[in-house]
Formats: sequence, structure tokens, C-alpha cells
Amino acid sequence: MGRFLLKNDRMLLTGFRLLAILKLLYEKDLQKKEIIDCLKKEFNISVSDETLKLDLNTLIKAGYKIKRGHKGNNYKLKLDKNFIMLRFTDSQSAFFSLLKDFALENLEYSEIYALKSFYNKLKNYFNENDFSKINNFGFFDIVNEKLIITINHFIQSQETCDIIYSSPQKGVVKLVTRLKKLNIKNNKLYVRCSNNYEDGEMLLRADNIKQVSKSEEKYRELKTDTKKTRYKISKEYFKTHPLENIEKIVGSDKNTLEIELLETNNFFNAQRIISLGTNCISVNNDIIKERIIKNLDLALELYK
Amino acid sequence: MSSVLNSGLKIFDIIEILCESPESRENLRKKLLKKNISIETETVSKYIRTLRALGFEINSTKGNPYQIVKTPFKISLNEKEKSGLIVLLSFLKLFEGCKSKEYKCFKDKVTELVKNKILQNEISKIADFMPDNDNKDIILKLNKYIYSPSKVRIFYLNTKSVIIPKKLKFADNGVFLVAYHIKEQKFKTINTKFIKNVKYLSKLSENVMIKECGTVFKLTGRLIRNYVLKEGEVAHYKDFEVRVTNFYEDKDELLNRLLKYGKNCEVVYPVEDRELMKKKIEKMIKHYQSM
Repeated sequence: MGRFLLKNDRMLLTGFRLLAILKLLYEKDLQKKEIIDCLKKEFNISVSDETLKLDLNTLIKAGYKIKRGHKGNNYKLKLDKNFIMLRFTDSQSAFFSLLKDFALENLEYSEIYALKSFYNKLKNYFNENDFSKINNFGFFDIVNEKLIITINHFIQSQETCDIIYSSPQKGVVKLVTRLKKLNIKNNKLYVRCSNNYEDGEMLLRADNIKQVSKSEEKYRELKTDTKKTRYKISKEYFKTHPLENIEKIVGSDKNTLEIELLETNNFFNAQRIISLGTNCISVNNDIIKERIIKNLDLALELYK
Repeated sequence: MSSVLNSGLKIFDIIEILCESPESRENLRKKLLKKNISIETETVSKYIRTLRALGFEINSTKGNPYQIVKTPFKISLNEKEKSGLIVLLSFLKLFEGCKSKEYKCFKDKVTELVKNKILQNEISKIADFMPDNDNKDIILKLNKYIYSPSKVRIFYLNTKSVIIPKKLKFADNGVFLVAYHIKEQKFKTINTKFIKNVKYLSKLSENVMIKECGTVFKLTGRLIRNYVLKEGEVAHYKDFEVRVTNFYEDKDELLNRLLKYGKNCEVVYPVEDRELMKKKIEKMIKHYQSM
């Protein structure tokens, strides 16, 4: 096809060939011999080793980073530079940024990692500054994905496991536990699990988990109170405030809304209700109420 | 041979120019001339034919400029990256019905870029996330101004306000905008459902935010390590505590938020805010005791 269009015009043919080489390297890493074969097969262009060498040098001089894949013979060539034409514009980059924020608040961990991986694939389509902004997945950049996959395996299999956990209060501890669910809260990943020591259930921050392995110890699950916490609040409040992703509207009358907290962890539930200030009209859970008053009493001590 | 090779690179300059904006044959020639590349108008047509032969789709009706519509450069994705693409396409689906040309252009570009043919039923997974909202175009507009920080005027609940959009938050009860309200000099959360119009005013200059005296609070215990700074907060670390200055958050919202940290968080400055916090705690204790 190339020769048919470009016969008798060496300059155009050269341009065509250079672009064709880039196109091939753009799709996958190739050996020199493979490039020659593909040029013949896909574009009907015959080139010698010498011409290909010159072409590659020209592309390198023009700023395209073409590197050797590994040492020795039969190495593959790797293109490490994008075409300016494919770059995303500012408003397009803004879309990627919005999706990332959305994902961090609303999607499952696996979708977030998939998105992160997809963004990495598109790295060359952004300018450097844009990419570092778009690709900042915060918490998910520091949590070891392999560990999360292991955790997910234990959630699915319901096997008892040993967790080495770096607790902010107790230091590094070993926990014998059954993992229940992975939760995303405030852009952070938590693992819900039950254990033999605490009051049945607890949330562990994924970045503090150092190791997870199958446990040999016998496990006895404590019964937990699964009663959900609900609170009432004025309808006006949620016109200007977003619901948290652990909340669900379960009832309403003329002026009030009843909200159920999907979280079973009292610590988080009490925190959420306190942050509503005096807007919260009532809470159905006495333990939470006591906890709130206790926390407020302790806080008041600071101002006396 | 070398000069032929270098002149072969002219085709790259043509692509670069056409990717910035569509150009007529004559304009293309002039732009190349500015780059010290001299070619005849006829040769431009030959280059365009060359690009087409390589798989570029270039629009050009009589009298109209050349425009690159499709390129032959595609990327192949592994399974995980493909899942990421599905998330992206599902997200784009939330905005279906938008009039925005940029949205359409973006969608085309992403779908064009990847080789994989995505099954439609795979991308409907997150379509329920968009709460009832007719303001999809406004959400996209605001997002653009979040990304390239700008001052905009919004018509919100029958009033005009000049704001700096900072963040969009998708919740079950709506899509909310966190924005800095210039006149009130504080951050506000706004339900986008009630925004009727967004007008771009200007790009944000460095010194547009007049820093008023902020509220300083001290964090101790696990919060030293775990606290994530919010928009408009500055932290100073010292020995076993960290002091955070919050400049813009609505005072009431800020104090409510700080209360949840209990004894690990103390408002230290200014004295008025300390007093305010004290009164708030006392009021809340009474409130919960009487509940």
C-alpha cells in the first residue's frame, strides 16, 4: 500500500516508514527482525537492516525514546514516548480527575485498582503535571494491593487467619480473626473482622496490616449485637449536606428524616453523629448516646 | 540519505499542527514555514494522502480545513486495565444526555483509543450512582473549573454568588459542590441541583484568597499520624503534637467536625473560637442528655 501511494517520492516514503515503525512499536515491543517483517506484511515496505537502523536513529534524534528491552542479542525495542497528538486536553484531564474522586468515594477497591492500572496505561497521554495530579490515588498508592487480594481471599474462604497489625495504640500485635468485608470510608480502606479479644467486631485500617496468613489456632466467634443505629434529623439539613456513604434514608415525615448507619462499629457511628452537632434530633442506640456524652465530657475537660 | 530521513520527519510536524486545530492547506503550509519547513501546497496534499494510507482519518470537505478525526495508534489493554476502562465508560454513561461537546469528544477519544470492544452490558454497572439530577452539564462545567482553578459566578437558590469551585462529592442525596465563597470568605457545600447557571469569570490568580486569621487546633495521639489535612489547612509538627490552621471552613461546620476527635483535638486559637467550642460542647452534652 505504501509503495503504491508513494512511489517516486523518497521523502514521503521515509515519512510513511517512520510513522509505520512508530505505529508498530506503539502497539508492542518488537525485535528489529520483527519490525522488518511487519513493515513488509502490514505496509508492503521492504527495508534492509541498515535502513531500519537509520530510521530508528532518526526517530531517536527527533525525541522519541526507543530503548533496548534487555541486554544480549534478540532484544526487543521499546517505545517510551507518546505522540503529542494523542494527549488529553485540560478539560479531558479534568474528566479523569473527577472519575478518580468519584471512584475513591463510591467504588469497590478492585474497581479503584483497575482504574489506577488503566490510568497508568494512559500515562503518556497526559503531560507530567496533569498525570501526577490525576494518578494520585492517595491511600490506595500506599496500600499493598497483593495484601488486599490475600485479604479478599480470606473473606471469601471464611478461613481463620493470623493478622500482624500495627495498632496506633497497642503497637504491633498479632490477631486471630475471621475477615468479613473490605470497606472504603473517607477515601481509606478498612477491613471489617471479628476476633476473640474485642467486643466481637472491629475495623482495621488496611495500611496498618503488615501480614495475613492462615491460622492454626482454634477460633471461637463471639456473638455480636447486630442492631443498626438510626438517628433523626431535620429534612433541611440534608438539602445542603451530602449523606455519607455509610448512611441510608429509611424513613421520613413532614419535617424529619430517619437515617440508618450501615456501619456496625460504634466508634465510627458515634463520630458521625457528633459531627452533626445539635442538628441530630434523636438516636435509637443508648450505647452510642453514652459514648457521645462520654467523648464530649472528655473534650470539655480540655477547655476548663 | 540523512537529509531524506530528516525531511521525512516533516510528516510529524504536520500531525502536530493538525492535532492542535484543523487547518486549511494554505494555513498548514504557512504554519510549517514558521517552523522553517518550506513545502509546496501540492506537497501538503501528498502528505495528507500519506497519513490516510497509514490509517489516519482526516476530514476535509471542499473549502474546509483538514481535521484529524481518528488515528491508527491504539493501545491494547490487559484484563485489569480493561476493567479500569469499563469503570471509565460506565462513569461516562452517567453523563449521557449532556449537551457538552467536550463530553462527546472525550467519549469518542477514549473509545477510539482502545482496541477492546466493550460489551454494553458490562458498562451499566455504576449507572445508578448519579442521583436524580438534571444538571449534568453544570456538573461537568464545574468540574472543568475545579481542574483549572477559576473564579465563576453561580446562580444558586435565586442568588448570585462568586465562588471558586474546589471539589465535587457524589452522595445518595445529590451531587454536592465544595466551593470557596469569595464574599463570605469561607468554604461552603452547595447542592448542585439548585445551581441554575455557571458563568466563567476569570482564571484564578495566586493571591485571590485573602487569608483571614484562621482557627488553630492541636491534635494529639493517633491523629498526629492519621489526620488528613482538609482543603485550606496548614499543619505544623512539633514534638508529640501537631497544630493545624484552618483558614476557610465554615466555623460551625469546622467545630462540629473537630468534636468527633474528642480529647485528641483541642481548639487553641483564637480565644473566641475556644470559647465557642466550649459553649458548643456544653450545649451538646445537654442536648444528648435530654434526648
